[in-house]
Amino acid sequence: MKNTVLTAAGLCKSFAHNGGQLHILSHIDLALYKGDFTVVMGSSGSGKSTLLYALSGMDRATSGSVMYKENDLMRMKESSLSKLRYTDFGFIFQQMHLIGNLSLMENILVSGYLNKKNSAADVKSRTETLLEQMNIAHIKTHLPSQVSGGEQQRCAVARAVINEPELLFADEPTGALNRSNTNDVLDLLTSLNKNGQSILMVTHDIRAALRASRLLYLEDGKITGELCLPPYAQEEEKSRETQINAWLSSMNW
Amino acid sequence: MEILTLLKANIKKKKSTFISVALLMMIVVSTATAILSTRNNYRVGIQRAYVSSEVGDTVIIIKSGLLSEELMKSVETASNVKEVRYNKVLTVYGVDCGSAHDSDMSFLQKMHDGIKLYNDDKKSFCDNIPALGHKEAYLPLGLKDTLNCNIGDTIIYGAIDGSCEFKIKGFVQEPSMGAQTIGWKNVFISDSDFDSLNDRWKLIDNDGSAFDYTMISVYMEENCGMTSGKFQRELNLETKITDLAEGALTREQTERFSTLVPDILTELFIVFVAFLFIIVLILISHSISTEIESEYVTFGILKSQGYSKNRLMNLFFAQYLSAELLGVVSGIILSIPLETALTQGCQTITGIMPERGLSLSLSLLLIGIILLLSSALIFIKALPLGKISPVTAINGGKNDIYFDSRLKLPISKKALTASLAVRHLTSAKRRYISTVLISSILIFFMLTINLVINILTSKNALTAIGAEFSDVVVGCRSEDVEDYFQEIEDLVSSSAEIEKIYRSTNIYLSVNGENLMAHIVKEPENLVPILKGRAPIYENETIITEMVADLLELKPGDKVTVSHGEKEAEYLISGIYQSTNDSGMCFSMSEKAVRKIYGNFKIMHMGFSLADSSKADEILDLLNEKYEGNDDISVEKYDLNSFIGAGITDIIWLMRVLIYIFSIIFALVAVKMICTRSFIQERTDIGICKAIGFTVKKLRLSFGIRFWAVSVIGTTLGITISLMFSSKLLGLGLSLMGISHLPTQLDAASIILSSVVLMLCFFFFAYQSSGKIKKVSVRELTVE
Repeated sequence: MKNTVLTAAGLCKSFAHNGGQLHILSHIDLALYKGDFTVVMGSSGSGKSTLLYALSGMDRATSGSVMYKENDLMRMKESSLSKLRYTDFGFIFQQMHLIGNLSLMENILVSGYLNKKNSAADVKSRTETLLEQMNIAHIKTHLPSQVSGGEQQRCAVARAVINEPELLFADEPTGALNRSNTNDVLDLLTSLNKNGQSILMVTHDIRAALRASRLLYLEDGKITGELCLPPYAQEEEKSRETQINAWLSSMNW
Repeated sequence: MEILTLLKANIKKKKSTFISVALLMMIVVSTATAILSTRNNYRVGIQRAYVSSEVGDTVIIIKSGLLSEELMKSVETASNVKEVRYNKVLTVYGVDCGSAHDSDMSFLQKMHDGIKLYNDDKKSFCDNIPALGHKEAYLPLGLKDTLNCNIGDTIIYGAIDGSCEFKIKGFVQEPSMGAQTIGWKNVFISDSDFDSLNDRWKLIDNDGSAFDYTMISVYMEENCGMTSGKFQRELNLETKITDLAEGALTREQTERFSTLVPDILTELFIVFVAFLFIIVLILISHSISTEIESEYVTFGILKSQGYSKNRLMNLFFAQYLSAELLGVVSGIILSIPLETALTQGCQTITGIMPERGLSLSLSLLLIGIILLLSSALIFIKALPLGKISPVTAINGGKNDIYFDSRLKLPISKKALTASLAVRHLTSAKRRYISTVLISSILIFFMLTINLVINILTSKNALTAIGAEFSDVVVGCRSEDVEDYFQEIEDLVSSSAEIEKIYRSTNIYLSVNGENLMAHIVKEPENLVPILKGRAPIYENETIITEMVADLLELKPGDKVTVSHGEKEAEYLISGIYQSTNDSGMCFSMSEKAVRKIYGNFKIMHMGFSLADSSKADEILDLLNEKYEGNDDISVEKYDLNSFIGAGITDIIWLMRVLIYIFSIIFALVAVKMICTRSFIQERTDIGICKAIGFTVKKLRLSFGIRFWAVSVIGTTLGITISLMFSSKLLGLGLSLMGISHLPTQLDAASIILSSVVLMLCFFFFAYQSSGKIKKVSVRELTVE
C-alpha cells in the first residue's frame, strides 16, 4: 500500500469566457503517492498546467479541495502557501525562470535561506553538493544569462530541491531544451526519484514520459486514463516506449 | 488619426505617468507663475506709488534749525535739481503698542496729498480720507505687523516731554519709508495735534533741535541721466546738505529696502521651482527611456507595420506634451489664489498696494520656456526609437535588463530581503540614477531652507553674519552715560551670564559724499565678521562693507573723507566687514574716531546678549525697577521674532512648509513613477520569487528597502552638496542684504530630521506603490 502525499477531490477550474464559463478542469479526483514519478500528459489546452498549478497551490481552483498533510490548499492563506513553497514543495518551470541578477549559486541559496529551519552553513554546503550533482559547480558564479538553457534548467532543478521537498512539481521542464540538455535534466529527475523524491511532471514529450512510474492522461479537463509502470531503467527504454505509445494511441493522442 | 488612436491607448495604459507629469507640471507652473506674478506685482505697485505719492528722488531729514535760507537756496539752485519740497515733521523716539515695541525714530506730520488710506480689506483705497481727530493717527501699513496692531489700538510714542499717544484710525500707503524693512516711519496726525505738540515741545526745547525736523524732497531733472544715488551724492558734494542731515533716503534705496525681503524669498523659491522643473524633466526622461525599453516589441511591430521613427516620436510628443499642457492649464488656474495670498503677504512687508492678478506676459513666457525645454528633452530621449529593429522586436526584443555588477554584495540569510533589494539596486544602477538625483535635489532644498531658518533663529548664526543681536538693550540720554553703563553692566552680570556686550550707536554720516549709516562702536576689535584686512582700531581708521566698497569703488588701504555737518576728516580703510545694518549699506568706526568730526560723541546704547536668553525678562524687570522714574534710561527686551520681523519670520516658515510639502509630493510621484516602471520590468522576477516562497510582504519590503537605499545615496549626495553650496546659494540671494558670506550653520538635527523624513517617504511610497505585487500570479510564468 503506497502512502498518499497529496489528494485532490472534485477539483474544478473555470474562467469567464465570452459571457459564459470555460471549464478547464472538471471534477478531478486524484491522489499522488510518495516516491512516485507521476507524469501528466495530454493534448494542448487539455488543462495539464492548470492542474499542476492547482495541485501545487500556485493557483487556486474554482472548487474542490487539495489536501496536503490534512490541510486544504484551497483554504490556506497566501502566507501559508508561501511557506509551503519553501518547506514542502519544489517547482520547476519550462522557462527556468531564474532570477536574472543572481548567480546560479545564489539562485539556489536564496531558496534555501527562505527556510528558517535551515542554517546558513547547511544551505551553503547542500548548495555546493547540488551544484556538483547537477554538474554546474564550475559555473556557479555565472549569471543565468551567461550559461546555456540546459545549465539554467539544472540550476532550476537544484533550486527546487534545495529544501528537500516532499513533492517536486515540474511544468514541461524540458520544453525549452535541446535533446542533449533534455536527457541531462531527465536523468537528474530520475536520479532524484530513485532517491525517494516524489515528482509530478507535466509534459507532452514522450522521452520525458519514459521516466514516469505512473502516467495520467488528461483530456478536456478530466483524467481519462492511467498507466502504471515499473521504475525506469535505461535498458528497458525501448519496450517502455512501445508500451507508452500504445497506451497513448488508445487515448487518441 | 492613427496617432490619436495610439495616443488614447497609450494614455489609458500609462495613466499614472500621464497624471504624474500633469500633477508635477501643475505644481511647477502654479508656483512659478504665482511667484513671478507676485514679484512683478509688488514692483509695479511700488513704482505706481512713487508716482502717485510724488516721492522725491531723494528725501533728506534735517533739523529745521540747520536749514538756513542759504542752504535752501543752494539746494534749489543746484545742478539737475528740478524741484524741492519742504515738509515740517516732529520727531518721536520708539513706539509701543500693547506689548509690542519698535525703537526706531518716527516723524509725526500733517496729512498731505499723495498719501492714500487703505480700506479695511487692504485691497483698495478709500475715495475720501476722513479727517483725523484729536489724538488720532494714520499709520503706514508696514508698521501693522511690526507692532501687531489694528485700527482702534492705542500707540504710545516716546517724546521729549515723556510720551504722546494716539489711537490708530487707519493704515496708509506711504511709499518713502512705509515698508516693514525701513526703520524710520512717517506717521500722520491731525493739523491741530501737530501744532499743539509743536508748541508744547517748543516750551521744553526752544530751538527745536530735539524734535523739530524738516523732510526735504528733492526732485531731479527728468533727463539728467543720473541714478537717484548719484544725484544725491552730487547734490551733497555741491551743497553739503546730507552732511548736515540726520539721514537721507534715495528712491533707489527706498525701493531696495522695500523689496529686499520679498526679492530674497521669491528668488530662493524661483531657484527651488527651477529645480523642481529639472526633476520633472528627469522623470520624463526616465519614463521615455523605460517606455522604449519595455515597449520595444510594440514599437518594433509598429515599425514593421510602416510607422516611421518620426511618427513614433510624434506619439511621444503628443503623449507628454498633452500631460504637460494639462498641468500648465491647471497650474495657471491654481496660481490665481496662490498669487493673491503671496501678493498679500508681500503687501504687509512693502506696505504698498500691489498690482493684482497674474502677469500674462511673464506667464506666457514661462510656459513657452517650459514647453520648449520639454520638447527638446522628448526629442533627445526619443532618438533611440530610430534604432529599434522590427526583426529584433519580433524575436522577443531586448531582454538583458541586468548586467554583471562589480558591486556584488553577498546574499545573506539573516537579511535576505535586504540583501536581495541591494542586489536589485546594484545590478540595475542606471534605473535608479534619476531617483538618486531627485532625492539629492530635494534634500538640498530642504536643508537650504533649514539653513535660512537656522541663521534667522540662532543668535550665534546672526552674530556670525554680522548682526548684533541683543536680548536686552539699554539706552541712555545722560551725560554720565559711561558711569551708568558700568553700573548697569555690574547689575546685569550679577544676575545673568553675559555672552557679549555691544556698545554701539548708529548715525548717518557722509562718506565721499554718500550718506551712509555709520555704526559707531566702543570696542572696534569686536567687530565680526571681517572679510578682508582688520578692525578699525585706530582713530584714523574706518571699515566698510563690500556693498559700500562696490558703490564707492574703494578697497582696504584707500582713504575716504567722512563728513558730518561742517566737519570732515580723512580716514584709512582698514578692512572690509559684513554687517546687516541698513542692509549692508554701512560702515563702522570707533567712538574715538568719530569724535574727530562729531564733537564729543558718546555711545548711548548698550546691548546684552545673554548666555541664557530666557533670563531677559528677569533682567528687564531688574533694570526697570532700578531705574523707575529715571527718564534718562530706557530698557528694551528683544526676541528673535521682533529682531527679524514677525511677518518675515512667518513667511520663511511658510516657505519651509511649502518646500517640505512639495518635496514630499515630488518624492511620492517620483517613487510612484519609477517604482511602477521597475515593477513592469521585474514582473517575472516577482513571479519567480513568489513561486519559491517569498511572501507579498517580503517582496514589497524589498521594494521599500531598495528605494530607501537609493534615497540614502541621494540624501548623502544632497547633504554633501548642501554643506558645500547651500550657504553660497543663499549668499547670492542675501547679498542684497549685505550678507555674502554665510557660515554653514547646518545643525545635525536639521540634517537628520530632513534626511529621515525624505528617506521614510521614499521607503513608504515605494512600499505603497509596490502593492500591485499582490496581483502578480505565478501562473504568469507558465508558457502554454
